[in-house]
Amino acid sequence: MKILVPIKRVVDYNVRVQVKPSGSVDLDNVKMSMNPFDEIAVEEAIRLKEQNKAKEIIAISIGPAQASETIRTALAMGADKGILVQSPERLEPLNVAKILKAIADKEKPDLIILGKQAIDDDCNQTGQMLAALLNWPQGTFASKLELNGDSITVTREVDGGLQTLALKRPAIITTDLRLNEPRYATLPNIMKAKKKPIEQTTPESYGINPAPRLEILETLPPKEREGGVKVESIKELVEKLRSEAGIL
Amino acid sequence: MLADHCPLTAVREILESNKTHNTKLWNQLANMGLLGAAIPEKYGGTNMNMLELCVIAEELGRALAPVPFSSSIYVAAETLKATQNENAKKHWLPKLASGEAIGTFAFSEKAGAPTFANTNTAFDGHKLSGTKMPVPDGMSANFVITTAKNKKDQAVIILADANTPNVKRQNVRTIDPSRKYATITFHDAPAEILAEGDKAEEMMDRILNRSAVLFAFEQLGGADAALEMAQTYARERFAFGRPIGSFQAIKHKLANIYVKNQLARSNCYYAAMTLGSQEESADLAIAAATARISASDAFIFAAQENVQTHGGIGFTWESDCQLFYRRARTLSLVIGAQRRWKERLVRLLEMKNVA
Repeated sequence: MKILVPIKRVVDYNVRVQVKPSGSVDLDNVKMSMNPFDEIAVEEAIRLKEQNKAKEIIAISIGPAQASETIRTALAMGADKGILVQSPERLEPLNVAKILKAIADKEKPDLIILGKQAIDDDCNQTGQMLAALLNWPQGTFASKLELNGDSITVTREVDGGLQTLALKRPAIITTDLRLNEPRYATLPNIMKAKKKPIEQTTPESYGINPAPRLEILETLPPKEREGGVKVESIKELVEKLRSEAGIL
Repeated sequence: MLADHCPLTAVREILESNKTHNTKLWNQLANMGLLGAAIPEKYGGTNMNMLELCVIAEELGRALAPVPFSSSIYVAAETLKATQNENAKKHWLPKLASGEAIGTFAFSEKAGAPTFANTNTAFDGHKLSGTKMPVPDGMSANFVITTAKNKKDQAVIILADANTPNVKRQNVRTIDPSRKYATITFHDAPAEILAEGDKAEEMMDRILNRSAVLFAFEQLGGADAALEMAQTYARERFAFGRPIGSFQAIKHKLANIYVKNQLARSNCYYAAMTLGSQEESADLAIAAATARISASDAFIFAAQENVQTHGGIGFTWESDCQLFYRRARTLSLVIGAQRRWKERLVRLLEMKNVA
C-alpha cells in the first residue's frame, strides 16, 4: 500500500506572530516548521508502515525551495521519498487540492493522510476539496484509524462526541490532534534522510495556475486586552453586561 | 525534545531525590542516537563530526539535563576513541553509544589539580588500588577511566569495571545534587591499561582539550538559559508601575551577562572549529583553554546575576535560579578549576611565543 502525506511549511507553533506596519505578517528570521497536524499525519503513515500495512510513504510539500527542509524532516521521521512542488505564490486550498489530485493520479496511492488544517491560515479545506476532486471517501478529524484489508475504520471527533465511519480504499484521511504523538527523528535517521530522494516539480508541470483567487486586503494583530473593572454588586454587573458588553 | 522531556521540574526532581539521573531522558537520548553521535559506526555510533557533539552539549547545558552525558560521552567515549586498546573499544564503545553502559572519569583524589604528580593511585600491571573523589556520576557508572602510577612510577590511564566487589563507592554531597558525585575506592580492582608513560601524558592532554571544548559548550548553553530566565523575569516583574528591566541597575546586569555570553560564544566557536578539523589543530590546546575559561566565567556570572535580578525570590528554595547557580559552580570545577585552566593557558601562550 502506498500512502501520500502532504505536509506544509508553516511558522513554528511556538513563535508569536507579529504583523508588520505595512500590514503583512512578519516572516523575517522566523522559525519555520512542519505544520503540527501534518506531523501527526506523517507519524500515522509511519505507524501503518511499521505494522506492515503500508509499503511506501511519499511526503509532498508545495511551497518555496525551503520547503525541502520540511520534507527532509518527514524523511528523517521515516517517509521514503519526497516531492517538492516549488511555488513562490501564496497557495489557496483549491490550488493545493488540484496539485495533490494531479500527483495522486500519477502516483496512484491507496491512502492520502493530511493534517486537518494548517496552523497559519486555519483553512481546514484541502482534505475535503481533494476528496471531492478525486471522488474518494473521506474521514476527516480522525482520532483513531484502523485498517483491515480494503476497509478503513475512522473514529472522528465531532461536536457531540465520537463518530465512527467505515471507508473503502482509496480514501482521504485528515488528522486531529489526538490521533497520535509524533516521534522525534533519530540522529541516524536524520543522516539517512539526507540520501533519500526528493523529486522537484512545479504547479505548471501539472497544468495548474497557482495564482490566488482571493486578495488579502488587510492583516491586523488581535486587539489588545483592556484592563477590567471591579463592580460593586451583581445588579451592576448585569447592567454592564446588558448595556456595555451587549451580551444579555 | 529537551523542552518536552527535561523541564526544570525534572532537574529539581533529581536535586531533591536520591536518583542518580533521569533515566527516561537518558533512554530518550539513546533512542535518538545522540549518545553515539561522535562514536565511529563500527562501534555502534553515527560517526558525526565533533561539531554536532558541541551542538548537543550546548542544548543539554541549556536544559541543565540531569544525565551523565558529559562523563560518559565527552570524557569516557573520547578516551576510548583515542586508546590503542582495541578490546576495551569493542567492549565499551557500543554500550556507550546505546546507553546500555555509563562511563565516567576519576582524575581527582583530593583538593588540588588532578595531575599525575598529585596521583597516589597505584596500578601493579593487573590490579588497581587507591581512592578517587569526587567522581562525577560515580554512583551510576558501569566503568571508570582513571589515572594512576605504575610500578616504575610512570603515568598510566586505566579502565576499571565499577561493578566488581573490589570497587566501593559512596555518595558525595556537593553543591549540585542534580548531578551525583561519588568517592570511589579501588581495592586490588581488576583493570586494564588504556595508555602508559608518555602516551598516557599525551592522551591526558588530548582528553582535557577535547572535553574542555564540550564542557564549555554545555556551560554556554546554561549561561544563555540563565540570561533568558533573568530577562523574562525583568520584563514581567513590575515595581513602581514599570517592569524592573527598565531600571538601569537591572538593565546593566543583563547587558553585562550578554557581553560575557557573547565572548564565551566566540571562543567556543573558534574552539569547535579547531576541534572539528580533520587533523588535530595546533591551536586546539589554546582555543580549548580560552573557551573553557570564558564559558566558566560566563555561566557563573549569568547564574549569580540571575539570582540578583530575581531579588528576594531568587534566594528561595522554590525558585529555579539555584539550579543554574549550582550547575555553574560544579561545571567550573570538573576537569580542573578555572585557576588551573588559566595557568595552562598562560603556559601554552608562553610556549607559543617562545616558538
